Amino acid sequence: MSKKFTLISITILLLQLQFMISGCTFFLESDESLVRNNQIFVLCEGNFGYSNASLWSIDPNDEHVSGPIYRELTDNLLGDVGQSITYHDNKLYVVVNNSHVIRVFNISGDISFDTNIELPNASPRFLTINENYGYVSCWNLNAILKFDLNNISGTPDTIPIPGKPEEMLIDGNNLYVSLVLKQDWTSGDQVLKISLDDHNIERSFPVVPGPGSLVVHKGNLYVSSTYYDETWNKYAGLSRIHLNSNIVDSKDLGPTTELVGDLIIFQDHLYRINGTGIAEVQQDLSLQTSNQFIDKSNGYSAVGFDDMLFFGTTDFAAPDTVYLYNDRGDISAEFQIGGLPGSMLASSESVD
Amino acid sequence: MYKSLFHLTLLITFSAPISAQIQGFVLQIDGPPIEYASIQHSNSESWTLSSSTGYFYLPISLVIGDSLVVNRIGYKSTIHRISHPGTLFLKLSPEPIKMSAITVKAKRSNVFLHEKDYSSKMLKADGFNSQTTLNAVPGLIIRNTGGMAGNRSVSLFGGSTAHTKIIYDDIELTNPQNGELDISMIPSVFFDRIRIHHRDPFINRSGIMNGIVRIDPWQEKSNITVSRGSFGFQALHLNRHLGQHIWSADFNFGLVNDSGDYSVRWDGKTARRKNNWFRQRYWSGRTQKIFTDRLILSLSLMNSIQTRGVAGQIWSPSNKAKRSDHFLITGISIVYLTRKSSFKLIGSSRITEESYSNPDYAINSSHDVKVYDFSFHVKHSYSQRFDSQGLFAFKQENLFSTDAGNPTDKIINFGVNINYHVTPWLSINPAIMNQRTRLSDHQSSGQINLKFSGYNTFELIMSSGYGFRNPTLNDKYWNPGGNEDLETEKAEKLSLEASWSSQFGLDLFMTMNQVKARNLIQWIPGSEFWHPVNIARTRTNSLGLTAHFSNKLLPVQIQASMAILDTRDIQKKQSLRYAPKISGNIDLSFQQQMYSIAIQIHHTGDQIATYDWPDNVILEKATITTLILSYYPSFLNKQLNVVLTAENLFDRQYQSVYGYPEPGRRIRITMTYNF
Repeated sequence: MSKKFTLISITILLLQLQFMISGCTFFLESDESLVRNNQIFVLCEGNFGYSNASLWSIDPNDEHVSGPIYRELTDNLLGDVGQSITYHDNKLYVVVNNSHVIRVFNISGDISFDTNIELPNASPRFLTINENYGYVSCWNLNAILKFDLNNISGTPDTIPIPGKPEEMLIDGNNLYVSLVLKQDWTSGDQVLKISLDDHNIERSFPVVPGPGSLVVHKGNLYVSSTYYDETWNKYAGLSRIHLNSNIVDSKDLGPTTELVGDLIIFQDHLYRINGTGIAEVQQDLSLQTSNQFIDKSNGYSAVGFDDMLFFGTTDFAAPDTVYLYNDRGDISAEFQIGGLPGSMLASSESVD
Repeated sequence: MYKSLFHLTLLITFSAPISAQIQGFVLQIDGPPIEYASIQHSNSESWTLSSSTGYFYLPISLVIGDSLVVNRIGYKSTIHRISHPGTLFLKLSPEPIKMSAITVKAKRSNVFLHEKDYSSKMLKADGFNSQTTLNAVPGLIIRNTGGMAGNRSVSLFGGSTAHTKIIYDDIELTNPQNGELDISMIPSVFFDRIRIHHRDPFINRSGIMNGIVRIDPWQEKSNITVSRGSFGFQALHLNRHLGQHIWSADFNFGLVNDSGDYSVRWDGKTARRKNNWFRQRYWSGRTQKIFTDRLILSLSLMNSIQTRGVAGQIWSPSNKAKRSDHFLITGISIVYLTRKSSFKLIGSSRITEESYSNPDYAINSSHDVKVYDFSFHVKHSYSQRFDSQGLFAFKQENLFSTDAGNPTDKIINFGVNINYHVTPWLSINPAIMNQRTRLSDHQSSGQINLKFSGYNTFELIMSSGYGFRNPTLNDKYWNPGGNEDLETEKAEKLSLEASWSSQFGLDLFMTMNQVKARNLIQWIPGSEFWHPVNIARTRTNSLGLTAHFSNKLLPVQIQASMAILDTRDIQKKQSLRYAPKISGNIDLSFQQQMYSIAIQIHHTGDQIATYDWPDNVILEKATITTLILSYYPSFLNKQLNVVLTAENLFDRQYQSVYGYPEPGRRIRITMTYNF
């Protein structure tokens, strides 16, 4: 932006933005259930404070992009900071963080806007679903809200969390939650294991500060971390929780200037996105940056299935580009979408 | 019947006594404007001094036939009898003789309008909405984050708010921390009258690419004002004016409370804006004394304390965020006059203490800024054709910020300005300024003006210049993102101004500008946080038009202005944000002895709020109407003003900053008792 905001506005903007970005930059959601035939959905965050998040769909077969979907359907803007996107039972749930709302789309036929789940001042981050219940991590509430998706206008249950809950992952009857920040907004360093039966915190795992992305791979829960010191120098790390033994391995990767973000699984390999592409995670939790799977600057998010990998890049202003790579690491198509493609949703069943 | 009514109306109209606020210029016969001439109203002993452009303004009601006494050492004193309302052109002969009264006839010629004057007096506004006055300025855009508690800034002709300077009584108010000024920290009553400078080489130190808004806080009447209105608005203002023929003083005190909550429509729903309360306490003082015919002293103080809720954006409201700020400015100027020279020493300080807290995000920040400014001006007239002005200035800027550290900058400026009157109708005015700072590279600015005074009252100024703006302290030191290696912004400006006055009361003013800027500093998002970079190159073409009509035979005044902008971000190949292609304003007032009716219609065209793809986010055009009804009964042998104001009369939903909708219709009743 041109420096239109005055002193106080800049204060708000910058201070809030640190926390927004530190937790959301590399979110990726890969849903294993059917989304739509021949489509992936891309949620663009937009610029914080500008309410220009946008939702797009990409058909890789005919290389067609549709969107911005919400604006086309309603003539309104999607909102401020498109945080995450989740699919369940023919519906898309789009969490718009700084608009404090979840926008629900029906995608059983032609996509249509269904309803809003208003969460005033909750700062919702991620939604995960288990047996028709949606769990929404909310920073400003220091809690997870549990919704009955068959009755979303009903009052949700509140699961108090000792910090700012970020990503969630359901494994069996447990909900794993990364605490990216403590209640005082300093970096968190825990992953919680919560029982879905009684919502009690059963265990807390110490990890590298700033835990965000969670992925289960070969019986282990991998946790990516990013944190900052007082002068906003960035550090990264990776942790691995052995789900059977509850043993935690951690590796602090030290200071970095590259974007180091989310974890993805592609063709049974675990990768982490960084500013120069996608690097495989080694057994010792370091990244194989010398011979990366993909070398491309400005990486921001990715999703893969079968032999295709979609890789979102950004220069932090619309339009940005999503590249389609094949399993040899070659670009086969590219798609222009809105600014900051932070989340993608796809399914191996949806693209043949 | 209708014919009789018509005759009756004419009778009332023509028999009504006409009074007016007096403004004008003091000029040397066939020569340049005269600075520091004293203009005194004989009956009331109210007086004022002419500015560097010869301009003067007496904010008191005068009656046709009153006299003004004009004095300046080195010139023959004159008495001018007022024959009509409107702009006066008082001419002095360069003869160093003792005062002897003569009567001169007002006749306009050979004056160059360096500045354009806008006053809320025309609408008889109650003073509690600075927007009423600012709206009349063509090309001036107000950006407000909603209601009285909003953060409010102004820009001229599509430029950044950082490229427009605000000057209060010779004191620069721009905050060096961010290069801007939140004008909500200045009590709105002080926006009673503003002047716009499109060029001023000696204020042009850093940051002026689009112009200067100069606030003249004089009130010159003792009065007490109470006001009450919509959204819990309450205000009290007290002004005490003291003065004799060589001394005058104003003391002001005021309180403003506004609950501020209001309903808006957004995204198809009704929402309530909360935490939008605003409280302001202020006092100010100003005094000016002529010790001898050579020595003039001026003192000025203004202190305001604001506390307010920060409602946040409509989609992300904040119920707990709070801001408080304390604004203190002080200034002293000493002027020493000789027959051919003037020496002026100005010392000023500008101190702000701002704090912001938002428990939701654990934000608790504070920013204290202290600016001390000293300048010395020398002006010497070598002949009737040739004069020059020199400036030396030193400024120290101290910041104490939780987020930008404690940097200090020391700035030295020196410059020369020459006026050469080639003929009575043509003059050349080159100027150059050099700046040396501790934190930025050395820079210079310069301009050359060609001034024509054509047939009758037609005037034309052509100007070409270049300027700069140093990175602000936030740009350099904000943590995170600040960049000490930022380069200075540069701009080149071409302008053409023309004015013309008719004998029957029509004044026309036109300004055309082209500004090409490079290295513009913009805060852009990055991988971790926003940060400033020198990326932008812009080009702005603008046309501003103002027409004002008043005639002593008619109780009607009309002022219309419009601005047309053609802006371009060279890199993005798009128009600039918050730069409407067209904006305009119409002020219409009808005044009788006991009442007046005024209406202001202000239009702002579509603006780009955010660059986006495939379509930009647009701030939609808005036309806002303000109605002002005034009644002036006599009470205890003094005048009582009762003013009913309806802002946003037709209850339009609009916003000047995207995400911050403004309140709907706001009604206010204000009573002022003059004593």
